[in-house]
Amino acid sequence: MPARLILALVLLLLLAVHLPAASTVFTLPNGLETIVFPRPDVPLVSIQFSIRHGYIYANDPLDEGIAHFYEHMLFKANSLTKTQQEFMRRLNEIGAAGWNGTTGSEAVTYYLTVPATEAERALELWSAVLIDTVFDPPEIRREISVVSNEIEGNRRDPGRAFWRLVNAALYGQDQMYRTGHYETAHMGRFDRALLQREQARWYTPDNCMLSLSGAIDEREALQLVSKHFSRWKRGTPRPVTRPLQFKPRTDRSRNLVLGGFTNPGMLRVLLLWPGPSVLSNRNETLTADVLSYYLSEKSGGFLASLTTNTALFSTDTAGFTFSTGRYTSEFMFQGEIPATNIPGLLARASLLQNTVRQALARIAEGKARISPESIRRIASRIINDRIFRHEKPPALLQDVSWWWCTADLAYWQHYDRGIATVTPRALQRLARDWLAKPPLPVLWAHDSLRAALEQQGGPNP
Amino acid sequence: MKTAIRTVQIFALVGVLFLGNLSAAAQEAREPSWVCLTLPNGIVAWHRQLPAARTISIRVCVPSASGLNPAAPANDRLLFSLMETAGEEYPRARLDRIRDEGALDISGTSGLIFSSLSVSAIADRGEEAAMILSSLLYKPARDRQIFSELRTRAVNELHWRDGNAWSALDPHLQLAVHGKTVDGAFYGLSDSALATTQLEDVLDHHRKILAFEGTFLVSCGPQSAAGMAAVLARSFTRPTLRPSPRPLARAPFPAATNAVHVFPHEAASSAWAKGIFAAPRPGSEGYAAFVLTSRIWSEMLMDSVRSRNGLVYSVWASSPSREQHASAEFVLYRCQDIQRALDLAAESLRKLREGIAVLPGPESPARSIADVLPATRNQILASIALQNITPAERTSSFASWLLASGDPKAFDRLPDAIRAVSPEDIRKTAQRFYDRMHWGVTLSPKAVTNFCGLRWNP
Repeated sequence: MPARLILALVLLLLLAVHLPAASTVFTLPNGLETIVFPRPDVPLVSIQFSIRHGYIYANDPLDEGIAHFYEHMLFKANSLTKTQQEFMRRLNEIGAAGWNGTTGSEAVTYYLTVPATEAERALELWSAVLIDTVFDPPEIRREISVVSNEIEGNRRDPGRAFWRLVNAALYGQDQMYRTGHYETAHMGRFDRALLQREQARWYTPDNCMLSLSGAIDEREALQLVSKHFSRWKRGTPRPVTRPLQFKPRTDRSRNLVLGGFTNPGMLRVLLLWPGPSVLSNRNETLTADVLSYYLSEKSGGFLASLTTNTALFSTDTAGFTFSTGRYTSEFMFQGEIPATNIPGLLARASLLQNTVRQALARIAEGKARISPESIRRIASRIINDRIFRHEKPPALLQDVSWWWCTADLAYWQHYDRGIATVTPRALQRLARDWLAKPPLPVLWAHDSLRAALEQQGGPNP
Repeated sequence: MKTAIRTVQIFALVGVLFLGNLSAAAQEAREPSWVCLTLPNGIVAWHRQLPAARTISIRVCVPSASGLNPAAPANDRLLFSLMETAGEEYPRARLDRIRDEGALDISGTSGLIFSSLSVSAIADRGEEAAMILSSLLYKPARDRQIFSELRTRAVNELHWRDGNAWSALDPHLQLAVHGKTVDGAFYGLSDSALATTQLEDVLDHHRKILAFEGTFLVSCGPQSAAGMAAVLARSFTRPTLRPSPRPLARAPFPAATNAVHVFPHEAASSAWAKGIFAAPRPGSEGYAAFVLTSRIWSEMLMDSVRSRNGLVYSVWASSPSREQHASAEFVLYRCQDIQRALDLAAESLRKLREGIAVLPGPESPARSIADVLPATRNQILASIALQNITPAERTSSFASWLLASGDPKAFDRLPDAIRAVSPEDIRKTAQRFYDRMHWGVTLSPKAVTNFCGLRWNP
């Protein structure tokens, strides 16, 4: 059947299926998935490209940081704009607001918002950026300098330095090249050939999703995306990506005490565990989300019991989180205790950590049952949070983009329904399978407290 | 061509509501403007109806803040922090339960010239949002334990900020340029105002500011102006009686020096530099040209300092913020070679004054301000639209512009003012404002000796 006829039928189908508040998803023959959220009340079109790439996808220690560097190189020369200067000029001409790229552990995204009248020129520019990237050697050398400034600054940032050490303790030094805390030592070898290899592996339509929201309807989106992205060729088979391996711990693991610049009046107490990943058990990741919401409720029993029975300073600065990952996920508890009465500080930190673990053990053993009503409340909370957040088209696209990279569109589309089907027994199983294991205990102290803590607990493991 | 289509429904629970909103929005290209409502008790309220909005934002702005009360600058900060945490009728546990539902968000902030308390809610809970807001405003909690916790957290935030080389640069730079820090600003741990403020001080202060006649409400959501007026009148019943404090006087900006002040800081990682210079007040004549000039110069800086020479991670010239309108900034963020970056910045500024907006490249000629102005206009207009989509963003922008300019139409006029700016306006703005630059650089102490001779000489 001629392509035009099929396209016309497709458009008729779109018109016929006029669903309220609907998003429309279409997939080009080359595998490029596109999701459109029309918002005729906003005079702009927000566009986001998501690539399943990021730090964890580095296959070799020599490739550390390549995902981030590649992201930088896209803001340069391509078939439409011959230099970075021209690229910037083109972005200005289309009135691009709020544009940038981000590289995370498992996701790379590029986003911009343009006046609705410039949607086509924006898509045309980004098709050139993604498909016809030119890796000009002098530009590569200059960008190595720019990225080095960024990374060296990050490395000296007290907060980032802390998380680098925590990551090293969780995964070991030999896996650090696959985290966001990388060294710049190997950047000197980044060249055109390496970038082209990355392009062939990861920057392909079947490894990318395009999302749009604003004053654009399904028909226009389909027409523009087909026009500018149909020529993009499918990729070659990609290397297998492995999860990060957690270093094993025992119940006798001592606290990792980290100093540096932090608040001298408080000691931050953390516990970290590995968690289920989307590829290993996607249903369990939904259960983990419900559990982390439940344990972070300000009016809930978990935080209240910690303020009653331990020196936890405030429920506003304490919480339990689960960071869903495609390959690697983590649970984390964080809370603060006042850094007074130094001789007993380590004991108070340990009391908080033990009380958290005991509360989790009670859930795991079925002694503290989480009611179906609590789960319904959390499901409703998640919907409300989304209503607030998704009033802003770029935030909506950021969420859908992140979930696509971490899981897929089906996960995102059925997320609310999935959350609502979590059962008390599933929560108990999750706590038993993951949170009954020994966590990594960490104390984050001001430098002035570190020596005293080490004296109380022995040198760092 | 085979195109796989599947249509999916998201937000099933609110879909019908949204369909109605979409249809209304499609027809409503003419968005209603801000409407001034005066409540029976005399409080002025501004409302903007956004038919497609799914949330509502109600904000009460009180003309009391640290800059207006330098003798006791911590009162407002702690009071508005207390108000967002708990009230007499809404104890912390009750507010926590409301927050855990996720249907309402409550936030209290206090800056230099005003303080505000706001509630955002799912649209059909507007009445409840207004009730909570008025209750927290009129009847704050008298809970010593909560107050003590909030005060400790506020002091901790100061510790954090002071330990950060980037934010610690501000007071040093203000001292070097003006001979004093900004009145009412919390700088450094030497400021003991926070740590010594007591609950009684804050509650006394609350009694005084409660009756300020300059207090006003701003709301935005799908409700009509008449409907909103009725909702607000039911909740905000106390009269305003007392004259508000006078607005802050603007200090003249000191004459230029070419000196670059170097401030070593233990926590400094890579070098950061910041220049401050005079700027027009938001809403005043020349402000739109200033915004465009900042944007054009930022593009020049990104091009010459970062793209062509790779010297910094980021570089930009900012427009003055809506509240702190004394000065604007030029920032080199994570810089490798400060003197060279400063020289390149000075060179780009000289060119801008001559009417050049893009420096010539190996394969491209120079471009004039007239060449780039239409695109820059589009970009700024898109940015303004992007930053004013949600009801909460709208009430925030409107309130801060009203306070900074005194003119309720100032913000709505900004797009037209931007469209009216000419290339000559840009050139004149560059000549008028950018010649009085004062510089601060923060570095790790070990690197200081290498940078003592830094100069800025545009």
